[in-house]
Amino acid sequence: MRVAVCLKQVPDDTGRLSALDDGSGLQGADCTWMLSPFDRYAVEEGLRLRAALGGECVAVHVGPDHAPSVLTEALALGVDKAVHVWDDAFPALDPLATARVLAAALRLTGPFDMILAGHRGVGEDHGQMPGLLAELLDWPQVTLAVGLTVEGESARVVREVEDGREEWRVTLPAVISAQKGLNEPRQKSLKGVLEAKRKPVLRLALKDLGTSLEDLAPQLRREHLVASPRRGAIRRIAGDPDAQARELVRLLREAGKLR
Amino acid sequence: MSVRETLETDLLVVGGGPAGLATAIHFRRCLAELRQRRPELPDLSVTVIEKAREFGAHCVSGAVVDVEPLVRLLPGRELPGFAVPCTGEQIAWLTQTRAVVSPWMPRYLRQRGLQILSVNRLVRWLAEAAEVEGVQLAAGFAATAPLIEDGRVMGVRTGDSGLDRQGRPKPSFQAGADVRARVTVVAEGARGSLLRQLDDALHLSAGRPAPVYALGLKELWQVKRGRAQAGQVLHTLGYPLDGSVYGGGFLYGHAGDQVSVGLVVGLDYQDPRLDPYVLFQRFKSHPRIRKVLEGGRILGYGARALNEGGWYSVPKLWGNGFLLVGESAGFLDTRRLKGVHLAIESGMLAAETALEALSQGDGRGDERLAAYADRVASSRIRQDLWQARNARQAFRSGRVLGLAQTALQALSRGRGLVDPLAPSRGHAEMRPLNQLEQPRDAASRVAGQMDRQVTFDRATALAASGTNHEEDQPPHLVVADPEVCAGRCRAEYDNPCQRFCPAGVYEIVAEHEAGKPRLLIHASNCLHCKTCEIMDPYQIITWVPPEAGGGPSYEAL
Amino acid sequence: MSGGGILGVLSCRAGRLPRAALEVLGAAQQLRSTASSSIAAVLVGAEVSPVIDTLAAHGVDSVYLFEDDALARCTTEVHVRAVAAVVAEIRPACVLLPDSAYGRDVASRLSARLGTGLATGCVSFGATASGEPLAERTVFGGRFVERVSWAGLPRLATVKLGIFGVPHAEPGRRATLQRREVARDARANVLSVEHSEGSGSARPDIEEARVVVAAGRGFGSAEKLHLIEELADALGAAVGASRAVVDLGWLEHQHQVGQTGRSVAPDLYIACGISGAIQHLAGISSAGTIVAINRDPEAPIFGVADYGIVGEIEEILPPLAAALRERPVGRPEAGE
Repeated sequence: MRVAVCLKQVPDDTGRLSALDDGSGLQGADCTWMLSPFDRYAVEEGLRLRAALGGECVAVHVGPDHAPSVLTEALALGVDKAVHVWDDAFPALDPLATARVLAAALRLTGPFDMILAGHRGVGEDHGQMPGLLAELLDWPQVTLAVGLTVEGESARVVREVEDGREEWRVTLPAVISAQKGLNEPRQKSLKGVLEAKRKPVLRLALKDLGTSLEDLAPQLRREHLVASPRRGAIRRIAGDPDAQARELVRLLREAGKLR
Repeated sequence: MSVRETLETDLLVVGGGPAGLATAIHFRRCLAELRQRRPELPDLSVTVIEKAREFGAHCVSGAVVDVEPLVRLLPGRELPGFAVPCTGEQIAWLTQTRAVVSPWMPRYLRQRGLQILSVNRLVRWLAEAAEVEGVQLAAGFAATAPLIEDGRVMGVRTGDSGLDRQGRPKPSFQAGADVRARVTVVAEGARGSLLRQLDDALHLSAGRPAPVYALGLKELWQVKRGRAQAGQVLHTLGYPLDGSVYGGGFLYGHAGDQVSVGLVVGLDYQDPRLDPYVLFQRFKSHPRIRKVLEGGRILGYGARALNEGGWYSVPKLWGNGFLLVGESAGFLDTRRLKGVHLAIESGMLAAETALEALSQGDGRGDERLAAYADRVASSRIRQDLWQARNARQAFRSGRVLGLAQTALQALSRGRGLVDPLAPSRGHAEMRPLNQLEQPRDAASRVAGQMDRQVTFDRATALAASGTNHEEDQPPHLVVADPEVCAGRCRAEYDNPCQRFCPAGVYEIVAEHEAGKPRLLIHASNCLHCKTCEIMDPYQIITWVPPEAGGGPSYEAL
Repeated sequence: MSGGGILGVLSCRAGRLPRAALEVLGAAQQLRSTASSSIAAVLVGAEVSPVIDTLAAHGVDSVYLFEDDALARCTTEVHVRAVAAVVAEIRPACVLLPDSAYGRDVASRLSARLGTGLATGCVSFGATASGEPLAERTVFGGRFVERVSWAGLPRLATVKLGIFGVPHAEPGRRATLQRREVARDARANVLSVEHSEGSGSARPDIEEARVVVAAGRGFGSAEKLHLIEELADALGAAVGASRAVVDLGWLEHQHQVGQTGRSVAPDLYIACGISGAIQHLAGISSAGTIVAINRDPEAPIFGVADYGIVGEIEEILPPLAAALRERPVGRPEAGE
């Protein structure tokens, strides 16, 4: 079974990020980067599927891949090979353009039986990639997977939604996104880290993908980015405890915080 | 995932700071040259293991660096863009309100022409260079124990991961690996945990006075335009340290309106109520410093112990299968207040020694390691440290006498009046409360006293260190007898760990909360500075590496 | 904002319209440029007719219904085809969906199908100086707000829940009804659905809960923790803890808020007896509303809280739980 895992790289500690004064984005020179946490569940699931069913697990990343490289990390965890897609000529990629690039890369390096990804990246947090990819590839998708079993040509997936759980069955190939609880991700071993350097990394640029720059023109544009406004002044609630309690409940209810 | 793997490498470097990376880089470069002349030589592998998640993440220093060895290490390479040459410097004496600039500066303290840079960034830069040279880099792995067979160091064992607070394996449990190496180079910096074990097993510090240490605290700030100038170096003496406490402050100007501000406090003070972190906050609120920082923004905070033992405390530098470099070897020039250049220099000498040992192939590799000590002895390391051999010790009698003795030493190539001067006893200098001569105002660690503009409580500063550890793991600060904390230490010293730890790891919880007073260890706050192990008056604290990758996440510090 | 209709993609379960759907309609009201811009709704599922009147009352002008028992067993692809057909028919300027599992699934496939941009998790709508529609959304763990615009039509957006109000109901208002059909997809189907409403005692996990009440050292001892549990029960909330409380052994490690890396982001966070060390605060910076209850008026937590009560935990928590119990607060509703 050939599984591809799509990786996203996000800043490690959002507490130390700051926005550029002109509102165009984040200051990034010394940012520490890491693999988006939900992607860890996806990588782990890909490795487990390979262990159970044989085949290959491939990590794919669209983005500059700052150090420490998420692809190297995936290789260190046990992934067989990595695909790095980047071209300095890319415009700022919005989710749809990223998905188009990813889909092209996956078609080039495919065929795959399953594509796994974290259900959202904790950076820009669009949460669209699984659905976009699935539609571009014309595959079924199941998001928020907390349980996955492959049964021959199809997969049975348990997903966790707001008010409970659902069990879906989809034919493969399919796009499946991972939610916390899907598995217990492994730690990388020293052996894995050292072997990672010897594993193949395929680098793809725009010319390899068969897409044009027009296809990648952003449909969603960032106009402005600023730090979240500081909370307004605190509202101190006075009175005796009973009065304070009632007033708080009243205020919260008005603000729609109680359901 | 619970099978312990064994890996092999020719040269293993433990610690990815300037010393460790210089060793690795230089080894590979010299090897390449050697193989050009002798193509029949097999390739030799170099592996550097580093406990931080990323190279540089645990490195913090001032720093004004003498880059001469760096230029020799990587000739033809341009200095990294973040280095700014020092173009102006001052030494100032601080009182509570004033700063008196010294009209004269001894030659060895001159910084002009040296490079102001971030060691954290330097290490990232070196790590990239190391990869280019074919060094195998592994971040997120700590050496938790040496592998010793028949008195020979065979490599190290790395730490397990995936144990819960009680030490039980979680589903993600992974046993550490045994890394077997023909030569192991120890480059852990000051007070390394691997070195401690090697010392216990092989008696490397026998016959030498135990080194005295200092604690360096530092912050990186983005200041308002015009408040600071790139290339300016300020060193201070005096306030907030009184005459009996060794140390001083610094303020360095980087490019882009960023400054490094810090305080070094000798870890041999007498008053257990001293709080180095609070002293650092006081330093920052001195008018001379405050006027630079006010209105600015803190970017990073970090702390680390420094090995100020000097030449006389340098341990045995080599043995069968291993070499020591950098601050692990005690290479810090306490006169010039510099160590990075010695770290790099020692790394290069160790690399040359190791290459000789590994490339001859006649089974006499271990003997050849002895040549390292000779190389060091005829290098500038020895030259500089020899001059400085009594410098730190001079301050044992206080600042005034210390300065006087230092002056005499400068005139006599380091000999001074007495050579060797009796070394400071470090933690043993600390006096119980009932022996203190006069009450001093107890330094408080309460947030309420901080102005949150220029001074902050520990918890706020910690957020700027990026320190983080997996919460559910065995505590990595091992207190041999916690009963001592709630009992004897409380009575004798009022639990100084609550004050000398710059991260607020230790807290004595009062009776009403915990039954009776007991010690709470907020291990997750730890900055890996090693001060607790050094300064604990009963010497019952042992620092062991926490699980892979935990610790500070310094950026540009 | 140019004129043009708004299409809301809603879903309901067992003939009931969840609050999330009404919030989408509230967002539609905010988004439309003039009172005459039409609002249409599309519903795909089984048993959807009962909600038409509710939709009409809340401002929907026309309803497109795909109603069939078999549609209860359909996965996203079928819903997307249905919505795309309506989009092709009425050519709305904007398509709004709830920012729920369902909404994101449908919206993202729709975005790729139509080739237009999708902004997820929008917290408000506005316009540039030249009248171009804008959406605001939070990024990087809630620390930053970005404003985005769309290059093409229709503009797709999912609407963050709990932000937009429910529009006023005008009972008796009418909407036109259009029934449509869509073919199933044999490749994927829903095998089973389990809801957790009314499912008793299990408290939600702190990272998933909408409301978190957290205990700090201000409780004084483990024995007093029943007060926080009663409060949690009254709110259907998860119980969190400061690290000190876990270190002292009063609560287990899974309750610990903050510092392990990922923050909790509940809509409502009530910190009881927590002083507010920065590491704890870092773990709750993305919380919607923060309430602090502490005996120390200088506690740092009051610096970040939206509401503050200075007082003793033992005196405040019982009446607070009682006041919350007075009008029963339901479990978080289906967010579809």
